[in-house]
Amino acid sequence: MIECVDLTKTYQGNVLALDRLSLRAERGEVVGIAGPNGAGKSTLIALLLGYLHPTAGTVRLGGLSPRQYVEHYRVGYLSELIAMHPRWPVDETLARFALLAGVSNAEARAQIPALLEQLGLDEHSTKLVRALSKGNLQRLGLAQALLGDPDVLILDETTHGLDPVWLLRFRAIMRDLRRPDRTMLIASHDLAELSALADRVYIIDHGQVVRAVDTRSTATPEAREYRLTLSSGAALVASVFPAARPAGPEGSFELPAIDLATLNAGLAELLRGGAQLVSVAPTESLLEYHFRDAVEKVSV
Amino acid sequence: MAIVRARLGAYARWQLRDFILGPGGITIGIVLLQIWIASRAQIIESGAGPPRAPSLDWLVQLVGLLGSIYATSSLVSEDRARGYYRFLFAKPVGPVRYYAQAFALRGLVLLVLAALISGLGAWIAHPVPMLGAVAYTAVMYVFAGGVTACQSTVWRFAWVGSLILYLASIPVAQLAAPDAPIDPFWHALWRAAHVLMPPFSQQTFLQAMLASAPNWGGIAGSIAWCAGYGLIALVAGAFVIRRLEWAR
Repeated sequence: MIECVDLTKTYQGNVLALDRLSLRAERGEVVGIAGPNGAGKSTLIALLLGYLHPTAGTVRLGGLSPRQYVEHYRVGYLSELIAMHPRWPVDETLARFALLAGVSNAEARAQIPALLEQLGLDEHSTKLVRALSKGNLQRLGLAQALLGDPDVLILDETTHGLDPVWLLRFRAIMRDLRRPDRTMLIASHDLAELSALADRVYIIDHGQVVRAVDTRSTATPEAREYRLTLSSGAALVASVFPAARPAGPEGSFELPAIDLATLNAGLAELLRGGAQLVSVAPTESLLEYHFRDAVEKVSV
Repeated sequence: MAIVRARLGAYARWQLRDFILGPGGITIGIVLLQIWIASRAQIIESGAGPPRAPSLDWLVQLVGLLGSIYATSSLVSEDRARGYYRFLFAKPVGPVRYYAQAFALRGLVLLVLAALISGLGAWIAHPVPMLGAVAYTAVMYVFAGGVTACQSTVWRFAWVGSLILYLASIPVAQLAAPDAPIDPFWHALWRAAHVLMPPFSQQTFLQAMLASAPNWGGIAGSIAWCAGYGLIALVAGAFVIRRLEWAR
C-alpha cells in the first residue's frame, strides 16, 4: 500500500534530508517510524502526502503518486503541528473537515458526535480551537484524521502533549484502529508506544533506514543488559555476576550485557544458593535496544 | 476501493463565511462607510444649480482595483504560512479546485458589492450604471485579482507586489508611449516592458465602462488585454500550486 524506493530529498543548499530510503507498509499493517531529531521523519511524511516532491526515487500509495492517491481516496493525517484555524469552534471544525473528506451529511451526523465522545471532546465542542489545551488540540487532530474512516492513516507524534490518562486511552484507540484493510504509519519518538502498536518499526537516521525491527519477533539480541531484583541473597550476586552494579533500592542490580545462557546459568546458581528472586528483565525494550544500537553505530 | 470526492460545493458556504469575516467584511465595511459619507456630502459647483451628492464612480473603481488586490492577497499564502494546508489537503481535494472556488466566491462578493454601490448610488444622487459597475469590477477582479492570487502562491505579501506593479506601470506606460522623447533603443525596451507588465495603465480606459452609455467597441481591446492577462496569471498560479512544495 505504501512503498518508498530509494527515496531521496535534497533541500536548497544541498541539505540531504533523505538518502535512498526504502520502506514498505502493506494493507493491514501498522508500521512505525522512529529516529532522532532531524533524522528525516517529517520530510518522509511530507513526501508521503505529496507536500514535497522527491529529488530522486519513488513514493507510491496504492500504486499511485501521493497526490493522486490523496485526492482520490483521502488519507487520515495527524501532524505533529496541529494547525487549525484558531477562530473555528470544535464542532464546526469537524463539520468542515467532514465535507472536505467527502463524508455525507447523514454520515457526518453520526460520525462527529461519536468522535467527539470517543475522544472526550464533547464537553469542548462549542469552544474555539484557540481555547483548547495542547492535549485537547491533539485529540481534535486525531478526530479530523478519522473522519470518513480512511484506509490509510499517517500519524505523526500522536501522543504529543497528552496527559498520562489520555496517553493510555490513545494507545487503546490506536489498537482499535487496526483492521485488515487499513495501513497505518506512525512516526514517534516514543519507542514504548511504537513497541506496543507497530508490527514493524523502521529506525531512520541521517535520512536512511538504519534498521527495520520486527516488534512481534521473539528473537533476542545476543547480549543484553538486565535489571535483577532479589528480596534475599543479594550477597551472592557479586560472586555469580562479578560485573553486576547495585542499582536503586537494596537488592537491585544492573547486569552488564550478557547472553541468555549466562543469565540463566547465573540465576540458577543464585536460586540454588537460597536467593529469592523478585524480578529479572531487560533494562531496555527490544526496540530501545535496536534503536540505541543502530543510531550509535551510525553516529560512530 | 471507491473513489471519494470532497464536497467542495457544500464547502463554499464556509469559504464565503471566512472571506466575509475577514478581508471581505473589511471591504464591505469601508464601502458602506463611504456610501454613508457620500450620502451626507454635497457638492456645490459655482453657478451650476443646486447642491448635489457626489458620484460613486470612484468607489466602484476602488473596489475593482484595491478590493480585488486585498481580496486575493492571502488566498493561498495564508494556508501555506500557517500550515493549514496540512489537514486541508490530506482530504480528497485538489488544491487548484479548492482555491479556484475560493477565488470565484471572493469575486462574487465584490460583484455584489459593485451592484450595491450602483443601486445605492442611484438612490443617493448620481446613478452608476449597474451593468457597467459589475462588468468593470469583473474585469478588474480577473485582472488585478488574478495577478495578486498568482503571487500569493509564492509569497505572503502579494498585495505589496501588486501595488508596486501598479505604481511602476504608470511611468513605464509614459516611457512606452509612441511620442515619448527617448532614444529608440530604450523606447523599444520600455515598450517591451509595457507589454509584459500587468496592464494597470489600461484601467483608465476601463473606467469608461462606468459611463452611462459606454463605447464598448472602443474599450474592447483594453478589456481583452486586462482579462487575458489576468487569466494567464491564474493559469500560471494553478501551475505553481500543482508544482508547489507546501512543506518547508
